[in-house]
Amino acid sequence: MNHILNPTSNHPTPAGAIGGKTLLRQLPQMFHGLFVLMCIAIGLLAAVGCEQKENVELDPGKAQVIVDAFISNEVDTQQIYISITRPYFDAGVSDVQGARVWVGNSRNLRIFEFTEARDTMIDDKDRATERIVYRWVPVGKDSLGAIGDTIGLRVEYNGQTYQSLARINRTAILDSVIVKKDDEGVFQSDELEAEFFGRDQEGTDDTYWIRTWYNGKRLINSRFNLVNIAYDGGFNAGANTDGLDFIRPIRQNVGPDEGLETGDTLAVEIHSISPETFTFFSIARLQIQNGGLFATPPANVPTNIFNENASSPERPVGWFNVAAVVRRGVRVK
Amino acid sequence: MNLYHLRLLALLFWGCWIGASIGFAQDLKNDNSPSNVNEKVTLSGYVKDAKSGESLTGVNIVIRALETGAVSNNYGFFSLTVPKGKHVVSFSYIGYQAQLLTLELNQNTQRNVELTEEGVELESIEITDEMGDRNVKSTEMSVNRLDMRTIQKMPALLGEIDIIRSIQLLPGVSTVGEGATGFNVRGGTIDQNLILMDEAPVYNSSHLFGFFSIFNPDAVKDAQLYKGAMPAQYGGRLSSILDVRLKEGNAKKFTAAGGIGTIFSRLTLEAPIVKDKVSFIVAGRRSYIDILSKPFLPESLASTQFNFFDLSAKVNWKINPRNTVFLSGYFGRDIFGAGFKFNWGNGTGTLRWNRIWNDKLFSNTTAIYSNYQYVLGFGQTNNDRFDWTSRIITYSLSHQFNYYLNPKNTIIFGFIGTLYDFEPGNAVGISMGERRDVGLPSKWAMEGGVYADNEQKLNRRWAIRYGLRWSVFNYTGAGEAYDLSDPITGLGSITSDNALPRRPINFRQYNQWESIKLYNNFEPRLSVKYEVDEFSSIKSSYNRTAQYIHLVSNTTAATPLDVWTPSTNNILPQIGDQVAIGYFRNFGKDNMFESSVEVYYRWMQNQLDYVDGANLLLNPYLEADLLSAQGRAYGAEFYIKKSKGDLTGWISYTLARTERQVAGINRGEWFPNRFDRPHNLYVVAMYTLNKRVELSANFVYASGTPATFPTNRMMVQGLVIPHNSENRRNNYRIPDYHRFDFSLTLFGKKKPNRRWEGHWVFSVYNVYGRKNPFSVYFQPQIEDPQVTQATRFFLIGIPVPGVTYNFKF
Repeated sequence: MNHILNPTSNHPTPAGAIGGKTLLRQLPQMFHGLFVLMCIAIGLLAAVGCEQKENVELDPGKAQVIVDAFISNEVDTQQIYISITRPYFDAGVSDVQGARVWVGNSRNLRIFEFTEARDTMIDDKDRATERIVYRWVPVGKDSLGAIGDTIGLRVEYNGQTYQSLARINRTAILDSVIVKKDDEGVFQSDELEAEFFGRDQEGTDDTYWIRTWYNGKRLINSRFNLVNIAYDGGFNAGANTDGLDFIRPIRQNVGPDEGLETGDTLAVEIHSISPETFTFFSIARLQIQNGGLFATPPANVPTNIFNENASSPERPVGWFNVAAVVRRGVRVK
Repeated sequence: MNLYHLRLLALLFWGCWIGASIGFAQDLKNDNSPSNVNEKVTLSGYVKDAKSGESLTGVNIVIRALETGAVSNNYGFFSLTVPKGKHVVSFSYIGYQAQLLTLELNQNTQRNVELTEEGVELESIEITDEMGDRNVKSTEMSVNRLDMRTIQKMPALLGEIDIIRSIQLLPGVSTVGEGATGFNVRGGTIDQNLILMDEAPVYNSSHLFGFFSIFNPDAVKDAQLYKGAMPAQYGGRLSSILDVRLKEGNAKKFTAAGGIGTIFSRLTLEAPIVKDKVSFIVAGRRSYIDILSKPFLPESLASTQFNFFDLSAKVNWKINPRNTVFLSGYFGRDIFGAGFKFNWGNGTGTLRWNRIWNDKLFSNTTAIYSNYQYVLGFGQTNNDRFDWTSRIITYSLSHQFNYYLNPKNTIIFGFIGTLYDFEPGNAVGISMGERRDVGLPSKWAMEGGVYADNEQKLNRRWAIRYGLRWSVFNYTGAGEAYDLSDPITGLGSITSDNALPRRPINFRQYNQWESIKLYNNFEPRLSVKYEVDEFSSIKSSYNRTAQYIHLVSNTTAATPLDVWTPSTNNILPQIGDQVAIGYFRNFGKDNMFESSVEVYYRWMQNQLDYVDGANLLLNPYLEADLLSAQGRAYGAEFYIKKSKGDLTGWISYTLARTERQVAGINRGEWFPNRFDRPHNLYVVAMYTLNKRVELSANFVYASGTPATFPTNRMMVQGLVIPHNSENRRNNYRIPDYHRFDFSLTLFGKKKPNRRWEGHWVFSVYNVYGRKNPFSVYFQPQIEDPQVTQATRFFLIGIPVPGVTYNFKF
C-alpha cells in the first residue's frame, strides 16, 4: 500500500505529508491528495494506485527562441541564456551559438555587451551540463544600473532581433535567516527547518522572488520550494500585506524538502521583480505543477520578449528581468 | 433607487398574491355556484399510495370515452372538468396497479384516490393502454422522470444507489469524469443545473467530491430532470432543472427502512403522528470509509478523517381537506482532516403550504432557506492558525397557482423572490500572534421572477404549451464596485496571445441595498405537440433562460472550495436559448417500448471563462480575472426504454458537441469544452430471474474528454515549462471511457405475518477493471525534474465489489 504514497511516485503531495510548509496555493494538490486517499479507500485491498505513466504521441511543434534573461544590478558576473524549444519529452537544452546580446541603460546610455562563453551547470541531480551562455563580467565596481533605471535588452540571432525592457525595482528588507526545529505550527516534526525574517517595502505593488542556495547550489525544483514569489508581503495583490513582514508560508518556504543537517549552509536572496515577472512565475509554476483532478486548463506562459519585426513568424518566448538583490546566509551548527 | 426597487418588487409580489387569491377565488365561486347552468362538473383530489399515504406525482387520470385526461401535479393534486354524467375514470401510474372508477358526476366532486403498488408476486391488472403513454401524449419533451424503483435496481458503486449517478445514464447527460462533482446537461456547465431539494436550491450536490450525491435514496420520492422545454415556473439556470422531491412520511403506520453497506449505512423512519393527518420522515446516513481504510494507511496518515453524514427530515400536516402544510429540512456535511480541518455541506429548509381554493384552483406557497458553506482551518494554537469560511445563503419566497381552467387549458402562474448573501471568504490568518484578515466582504443580490404558463389542447392532435417568465436581478451594496481597464501593452510589458488580467479602476462604495447593477430578462417558453397517431408524436420547443449567479470554477472537476458569485457590473448574466425537436413513439405489446429521438441546438451568452493563471480564491479583484465567452452546443439523443416485463431497462445514445469561443483563448477560435464528449452510449438492463433474484447490469461508453497537451518544453531558470507552439486549447482527447457494472439482488423469503423484509445487493462496479482516465497530465518527474512525462490519472482502476443489506419493517 505504501508505495502509493511514496514520494517517488509522481502524484502531487498527499495532505499530511506536506510537512511544515502548507501553502494556500497548494490546496488543489492537497485535494488531489485527499482524492488519492479516497481512491485507496475505495480500492481498499487492491494495491492499485490512481496514476500510471501514459504513452502519448505529441506533435513536435515549431521550435522557438527562448531568451532566459534574469540578471541583476549586483557587481558580479551576469549571464543570459539563449536556447530553442525542444519537443516536450526531449530532455536537455538546445543552447544556441552565435547570438549577439546587449544590455543598455536608458539613464546613462551605457551599453553592455554580453559575450558568448561556456559554463558548466550543475542540475538537481548533481549532473554537470555544458551550456553556452552570454556573459558580462564587471570591471571594478561596475554594475548594469541603479534602482529605478530602465534597462533594455537586444538579442540578434539568425537574422531576427529580439528586444525587451525592464525596470530595476527596489528589493525587500532581509534581516536574518535562522534554522530551528519545526516544533510549532501545524505539522510538527523533528526536522531542522529554515526561516528568513524580512519585510516588504512600504507602498504597494512590490514583488519579489526569493531564491535559496543550499550548500552552494541553487534550489530550483524543490517540491515545496518551486519558485517562492511574493506580492508585497503575501501571496497575491490585494492581500493587505503591504509594508509588513513576509507571511509565514513565504518565510518558511526556503530550504530543502528533506530538512537541514548540521554543517549545511543556506543562503536566502530576495530579488526584486516586476509585477509582470510575478505573473510570469505564477503562471509558470502553475503549469509545471498542473495535473490531477483539480488541474486548471494548461496555458502557455506569457513573455516580455518581442521580435522587432512584429509580423515575423519567429516569435520568441522567455523572460527578461533585472533585479536588485539582498542576501543573508546561515550555517547549521 | 434601492428602496424604490425593493418596494416595487414587494408590491408586485403582493399584488400578484392578493389579486390572484381574491380575484380568482371569487371568479370561480360564481362559476361553480349551484345555480350555474353550466353542464360541466369538476372532479378533483389527491392521488396517493395506498400503503403509505404518500402523494403520487405524474399519475395519469384518463376518461377514455371522452378522450380527456389530467396528470397529478407535484403534490399529487389533479383536477379534471367533464360534462355531467357517469364516467369511467382510470388512474394509472407506473409501478402501480391501475384503478378504474365508475363515477356518477353530477356536481363538483372531490375524491382522493389511493393506488396500490404492484407487488413482485402480484399479477398486475392490465386495463389500459394509457400507462406510460405520457411521453407521446403530453406536450413535455426533454424531460426524464426518475423512478426510484428503477434506480433501486440499477447496479451502483459499492452497492449504494444514487440519484445523481443514475442521472448520468440518461440521454443528454454526461460528466467530466468518474467521481466529479455535478453533471453536464446538453453541453452545459455544472453550475447551469438548478438542483432543487423540496424546492430549495442545493449549491453542491456531492458527497466525497462526487462519488455520491447528497440525496438519501430512502427519503426521495421522485426526481425529474428538465433538459429543455422548461416550464415557465422554473428559471435561474441555463441548462437544466433537477427537481427532487422528498417523501412526506408514512401517514398510515410506522415503517423503518435502511441499509448496511460497504461504505456507509442508512436508516429511515417514518410514521404518522396523527393517522392520515400528521406524519413525519427522518432519514440519516453516515459513512465510515476512514475507519475502514485506517489499517491500510501509512502511519503519517492514520489520523486522516474523511467521512460524511446527512440528515433529512420532513413533517406534513393535513390541516383539513383543503390545506396541507409541509416542513422539511436537510443538513449534510463532508468532513476531511489530516492535521487540518476541512468540511463542507448544505443545509436547507422548506416550509410549504398547499391550498385547494376550489375544484379548479390549487396553490402552493413556499418559504425556503438554503445555505452552502465550507470551513477550512489550519493550526492548533491560537497564535498560529488560519481559518477560512465561505458561504452562500439564499432566502426565497414563492407562490404558485395551478388553475385547471377547463380540460383544454391548464394555467400555472406565480412568482418567486430570492435574497442572496454571498460570503466568498471570511479568512483570518494568525502568524505568531500577528493577525491578518485576508477575507473578502459579503455580496448581496435579489432575484425575482414572475411567470405564467398555459398548457392548451387545441384538438386531438395538436397541443401547445406557452409561457413567459420575467426575471429581474438586482446586485446591491453594501460593497465596493469597480470597473476594469484594458490590459496594458507595449515594450517591456507582459505579452501573451492569451487574455491577461485587467486592472480594477474607478472604485466606488455603495450602501446596504443600494443598487449597483440591475438586470432583467424576458424568458419565453414554447412547446408544441403534434400527435401523428395513437402511438407517436412530434414535438418541438424553444426556450430562453437567464442565469444570474455563477460558480467560479476553473478546474477539471469542481472543488468544494469553489465560490458562487452574483452577476455584477462586470459579470453579465448568462443567457441561453435552446430549440429542440423530437419524435416520440411507443410500440410493442401494451406499448412496452418507449422510444424517442430528440435533436437540440443551444446558444449560450456570457459564459464564465478565465485568464491564464486566474486567481479565483480570496481574490478581491476576481472580476479582473474573468472572461465572458459565448457557447454553443448541439446534439441528437436516441432513447429506447422497456418498462414492462421481466426484462426492463433502456439504451441511450447521444451524439453531441459543446464548444465555446472567447477572445484570448485558443487564438480567439472555437474550441471544445472540457466536458465535450461526442459519443455517449448507456445501456441499463434489469432482469427478474425469479421471485427472489433480480439481476442488473450497466454499460457505459463515452468519448474521451478534450485536453490541452503541450508540444514543446522550454527551460527558463532551470524550470522545465510546457509550451504549446500553436497555443491551442483542448487540442487532444484523453482515451475513451467505458465500464461495465453488474449486480444481483437477493430477496428474503416472504413470510406472511412477518413485517421484516430484507434483501442483499451484491454488486461489482467496473467489472473488467478498466483504468478509465480522468485526465492525462504532463509534469516533470519528481525524482528528476529535467525529465518530463505524461501521467494518466484514474480514480477507479479495479473491479469494485460491494455488498449491501437493505431492510424494511
